[in-house]
Formats: sequence, structure tokens, C-alpha cells
Amino acid sequence: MSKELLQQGDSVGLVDTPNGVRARLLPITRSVIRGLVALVSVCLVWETIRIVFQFSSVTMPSAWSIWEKFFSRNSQGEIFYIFLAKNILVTGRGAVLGLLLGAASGVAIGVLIATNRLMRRAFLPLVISAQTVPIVAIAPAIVLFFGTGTLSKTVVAGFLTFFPAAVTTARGIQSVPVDSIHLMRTYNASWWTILTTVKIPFALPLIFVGLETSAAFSVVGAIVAELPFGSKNGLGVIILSSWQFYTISPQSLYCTVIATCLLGAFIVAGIRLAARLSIGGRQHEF
Amino acid sequence: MSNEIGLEAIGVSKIFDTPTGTLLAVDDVNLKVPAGEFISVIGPSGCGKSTLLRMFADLDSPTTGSLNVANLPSSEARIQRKYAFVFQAPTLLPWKSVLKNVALPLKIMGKGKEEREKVAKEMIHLVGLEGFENRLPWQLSGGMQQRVSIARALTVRPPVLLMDEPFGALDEITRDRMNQELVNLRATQHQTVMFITHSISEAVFLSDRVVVMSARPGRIIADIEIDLPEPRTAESRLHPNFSAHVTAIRGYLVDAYNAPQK
Repeated sequence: MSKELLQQGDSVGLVDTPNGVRARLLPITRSVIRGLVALVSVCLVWETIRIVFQFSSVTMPSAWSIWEKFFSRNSQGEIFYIFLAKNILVTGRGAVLGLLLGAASGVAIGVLIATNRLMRRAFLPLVISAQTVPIVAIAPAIVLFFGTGTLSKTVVAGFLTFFPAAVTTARGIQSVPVDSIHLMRTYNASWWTILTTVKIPFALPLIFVGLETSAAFSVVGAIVAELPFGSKNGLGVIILSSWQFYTISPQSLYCTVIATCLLGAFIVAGIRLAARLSIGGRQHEF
Repeated sequence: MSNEIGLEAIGVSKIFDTPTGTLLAVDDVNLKVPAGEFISVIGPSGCGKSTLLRMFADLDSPTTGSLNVANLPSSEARIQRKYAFVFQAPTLLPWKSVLKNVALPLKIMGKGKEEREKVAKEMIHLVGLEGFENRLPWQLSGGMQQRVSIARALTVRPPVLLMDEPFGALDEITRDRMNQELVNLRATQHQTVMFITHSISEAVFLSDRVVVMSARPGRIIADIEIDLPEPRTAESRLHPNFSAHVTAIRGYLVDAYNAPQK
């Protein structure tokens, strides 16, 4: 009895430790604090490198001047962060559509690879060699085929994103316990029923790991599709012009890179949310 | 009813192709199990007893011979869901509740939600898991999980149960209790059961008949009628015939282990 009381007392005492204080903060406040800590750390590393290597402010602008650049007006008189936000939408649309295309085709190809030996032999070398194609090199051709609009971005982003989805789907399906499939066969379940009732759900946690990687690639894909001639909007276009004007205003390049990171983080967060909604209750399985 | 055949194997052999050559896993097995009989198959690892069971379930096909389940060829019996298979592992879908796991076969058969849940609840009651319908498998003990898998097997009301060491992974106390529950279940349902096990006492306690197999090639070397008063209870284990059967089967098993290995 007294032992129990003591334990209770201990746990009450814990509430006042720093751990307890942190536990009482809202999750959103906690992530804001974490984000600020990360931001300050990156700035500190940045500034240290500038000072240690004695880079000029043209080679490597100060963190503060990059921050200020967000609120300056560009040649059209538009505040830079608003200008960036508009272009994030342009690039983001291509990235998200490409991710959807890549995820859908990747999962489909993964299923074929995992369930059909002929398909595995026919598709797998093709899928792997497709990954070695230098996408930057063929991007101009893709833009010639599909124009400078969203379609090109979707295609390039889809091309970069299907591989992680395909590989994790195939691996996930191949690791389904064989007795679960035998069980379904004893009920005379169809190929499709086995796929949708057992194989895909079993593979889902792994598929989401692949989709997270795909989500990050999707932004790279959409930007690559904006680099060739002719595109008028998008983060890729701003990056191109920032290259040209680097010696005048190096800050705009870094602002655009930060904007790109935000877009990537947003899409990855979307995938994580989808994962939490669909398999959130299944942590005990992995 | 008693003329009906629960399980029948006619001249069944199974040859596996392995990297080191062919392996005769099951050699000319002939076996006839009347409907309603409980038969256990016991033998050393690799004697082909699981292979034999899988061939009855049409999960594996024999190299020669034929198998019948509930008076139908095994492939037809599978399509008509004349048997249910219980694996050594509970083989539950970890993201589905107990209720949904038990109702799974009915869902695959295309039954409506109301009927599924009614039957599933009935079976959950039968295996003594009321109140656990909405739990997930990981929240249950190993013995309870295996009960869920037995409830799932019973939902299709199969005339034949094929059980592949279903209690092999359980501790002895739980296993004894599950044995008793299986006996009680069958007292009302009278399925034909083929039960694979490594445990001699489990086989004797449960069965009307025990078949001993030897390894490589997998052959039936003994076929023993178990003579114990019905119904089987904890007392049955104390009956003189019980230990006599255990001793006899142990003798056959020693022979099976010492059989010349090809």
C-alpha cells in the first residue's frame, strides 16, 4: 500500500519536471518551438561558414539579407514572398498531379512485379533502367512533347515518383505471410479479393514509406520540367533567372530554394496525414 | 450418415522437386475417414503430414492419386467451401477487429453485413470470446487469437475441419484447455476433423483414431482406434487405456524416427 502511494507521489512529482511542462504544451506549440530551434541552428551554421571562410556577401549572402529579401519588391513591384507563393502554386500543382500519377502507376507496376513472374522478368529491368535516365537531359524533349504547362511537370514528376512506390509495393506484397494467402484460397477468394483484402492492406505501411520518398521527388520533377526554354511561371523559372542575376542579387536564389523546401515539406506532410488516416491505428504492427 | 465419407485419400503420392533432386514426401497413402470421425496424424518433422493435409485442402496437388473431401474431389470441395482450415499461426488480419476477422469468410462469400455479424457473434460466443468483438488481434493472448481463428473456421459451418498443429505454439496448460474446448465444440457439431500434431497425449485425448506416419518417404505405419469412454473430459487422461495408447503410439513413433532415411 505504502509502496503504491510512493509511486503515485513519484508520478505527481514528475509533472513539475521539464518533461512534464513540455507534455502540457499544445502539440502545435511544440512543433513551432522545434521548428524555430531548427531554423536558428541552420542560420548559426550558415553564418559560421561565412565567417570562417570569409565569403563575400555576393558569394554567400547573410542569413538576415535573405530574410529581408522575402519582403522586398521585385521589378514588377510585387512583394517577393507573394510572388513566390503564386509560383509555389504553379509548381505545386504539377508536383501533386505528378505524385498522384506516379503513385498510381507505381503501385500498379509494383503489384504486377510482385504477383506475376513474367511481369517481374519483363518489367523489373525496365523499371530499374528507367531510374538511371538522366531526367535533366531529356526534360527539354518532354517539354517539346507536352508543352510548357502543367502536363510536362506532371509527366516528369510522375516519372521520378513511380519508382519508390513500385519498389515498396512489390516488396510489401512479397512479404505478406504466405498462410494469409492460403487462408484466402481456402475460401475460394478471387485474385482481386486477395489483392484488396490481404495483399495491399498488408503492404500499406511500406507503400507509404515509398510514397514519402516519392513526395520529395515530385517537387524536384516539377522544377526540372520548368528549367528548359519557354516556361513562364514556376519555381524552376525563378531559379533560372536567379542564376543569371546571382552577382546582383544572390538572395533571390536562396529565397526560392527555401520556398521549394516548404513546398516539399507540405506535400510530404500531406502523405503523412494520409498515412495516419489510413494506417494510423497500426503502429503495433511495425 | 455413417456411410458418408469425410475424407478419403486413394493412392496419394507427392514428389517435390528440390535443388538436390526429387523428394518423395508422401508415398502411396490410402486413408478413409468416415464422416464425423476425429482423426489425428502424428509423425516426425518432414513426414509429409502437413503436405497430406494441404493436399486435402487443395492448397497442394498430389503427384499421383486422388483425394476426396465430404464426398467431393478436393478441388471441388474447396470451391464449395466444404472444409475450413486452421493454421498453426492464428493468421488473423491484424488491422481488423475480432468480429471482422471472424466474419471474413462470409464477406468473401458475399453475405450481407447483418447476416455476417449475426453468425460471427454466434461463433465468437461459441469459443467464449464475447465482449472481445471489437478488440484487435494484438490485444489478445496467443490462445485467444487461436480461438478467434477457430471461430472464423466455424462461420462457414463446414462439414470438415482441417487443422494443422493449431495448438502447437501454445503453452501446455492453454493447450489442454483448448483441447477440452475443441471436444466440447464438436459435441454439438460433429464435424469430420483431421488434426495434425506433434503431441501424443493431445492426439489420444482428442481422437477417435490416430495415424502414425514415418518420414522420407512419408508413409502410414500405424492406424490406431482410440478406445476411451465418451465424452472426453479431464478424467479421460487418467483412464488406463489413455496411457496404454500413449505408450503404443510412442513405440510406433520411435520406429518412425529410426526408419531408414532415403
